[in-house]
Amino acid sequence: MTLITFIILVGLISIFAGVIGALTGLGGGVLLIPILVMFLRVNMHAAMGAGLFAVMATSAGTAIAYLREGYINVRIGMFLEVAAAIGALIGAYVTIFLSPHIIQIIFGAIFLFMSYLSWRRKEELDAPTVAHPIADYLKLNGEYPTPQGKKAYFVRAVPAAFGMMGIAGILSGLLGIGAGSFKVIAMDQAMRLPYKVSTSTSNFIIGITAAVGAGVFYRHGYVNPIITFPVVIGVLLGALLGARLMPKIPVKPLRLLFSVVIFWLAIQMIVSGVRG
Amino acid sequence: MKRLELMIGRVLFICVLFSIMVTLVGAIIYGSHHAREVINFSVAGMPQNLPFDELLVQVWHGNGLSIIQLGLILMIVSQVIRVLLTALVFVKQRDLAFMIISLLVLLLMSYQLV
Repeated sequence: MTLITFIILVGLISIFAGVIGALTGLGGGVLLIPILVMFLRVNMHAAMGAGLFAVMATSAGTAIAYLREGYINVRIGMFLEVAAAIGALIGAYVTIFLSPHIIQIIFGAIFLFMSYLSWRRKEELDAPTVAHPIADYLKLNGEYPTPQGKKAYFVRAVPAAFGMMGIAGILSGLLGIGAGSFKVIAMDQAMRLPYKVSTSTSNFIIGITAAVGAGVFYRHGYVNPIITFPVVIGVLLGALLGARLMPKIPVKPLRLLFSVVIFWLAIQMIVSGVRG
Repeated sequence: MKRLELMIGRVLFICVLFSIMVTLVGAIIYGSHHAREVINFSVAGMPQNLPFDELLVQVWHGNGLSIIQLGLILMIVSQVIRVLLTALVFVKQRDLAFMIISLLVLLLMSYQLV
C-alpha cells in the first residue's frame, strides 16, 4: 500500500486502540502491536517500538486527569519504578536480539496469561492495618479521597511488590507494552493498596518504564518514525476521547469483550510465530 | 505536594504535545514528497539511524524523517523531565531517600540516551 494509506490506517487503528486503552485501563499497545504485525505486515520490532511510544503518549495524556483525582502515590510509584526501569533495560536488551518469531510466541503466551487474569475472580483482600517496615521507613503509606473524607491505607509486602514490578518492567521492555495490568497486580494484590490507587499509580509510572525501553529500541534502530508517528498521534487522541467517554460507557462488558479479543489474538500470535 | 505534582503533570502534557507537533511537522514535510510511495515494513531496520548531532544537521536542512525522529526523542525526554522535576520536589522536601530513588530512576533512563 502507499505511504499515505498506511499512515491513515495506522492513525485510525491507533485512535481506536487509544479509546479502548483508556476505557479499560489496559493500555493501547496491547491491541496495537498484534494488529500492526498480523494485519499490516509490520515487523515485530518496529511495532514494539511504536507500542512503547503509544504507552508514553497515553500515560502523558491521562496524567492530569489521574493527578486531579488524587489517588496517585508518587512515593510508591517512584520506589517501584526503580525495579521496573531495571527490568525494562533487561527486557529491551533481550528482545533486541530475539528473533521476531520467538517474540510472537512469548507475546501470545503472555496474552493468554493476561486473558486468564481478567477472567479470574478477584479475591477481595482485606485492607492491611499494619504496614511493612520498609513502607514505614520510606513513608510509603498514604491516604486517598473517599466520599467520607480522606482515608488512610497501609502498604504491605514491599519486597514482593518490588520483585513483581521488576517482572512487569521486563515484560514492558521485552514486548513493547505498558504491562500496566501486571503493575496493578503488584500493587493491588501484593501491597494491598486500594484499587484506584493501584491503577492511578500504575498509569503514572508506565510512561517512565516505556521511556527506558524506548531508549534502548531507538538506540538500536528499531523505532521507525513513519510507523510511530501516526501511532503516537492516534493513541493520544484516542486516550483523550476515551477519558471523555468513560462515564457514558459500561466498562464491565467492555472488559469482558477485551479479554476475549486478547485470547483470540494470543492464539493468532502463537500460531503466527510457530508457523514462521 | 499535590499541587506541585499536578503542575508537573501539566508540564509533561505540554512537553508531549510539543513533541507530537514536531513529529507532525516532520510528517507533513516527509509526506509531501513520499505520499504515493509503496511501503514495506516487514523487515526490521530504520530508514536512517543517525547519531544525534547528525540528526540535528538533517533537521536544520528540513529533512522530514529526521524531524519526526527529533519529535520522538523529545517524547522520551518529556518523561525524563517528569522524573527530574519530581526529583526536585523531593529535594525541596529534603527527603534524602527519595532524592536518591528518583536520581536512580533518572540514571536508568539516561543510560541509553548518553
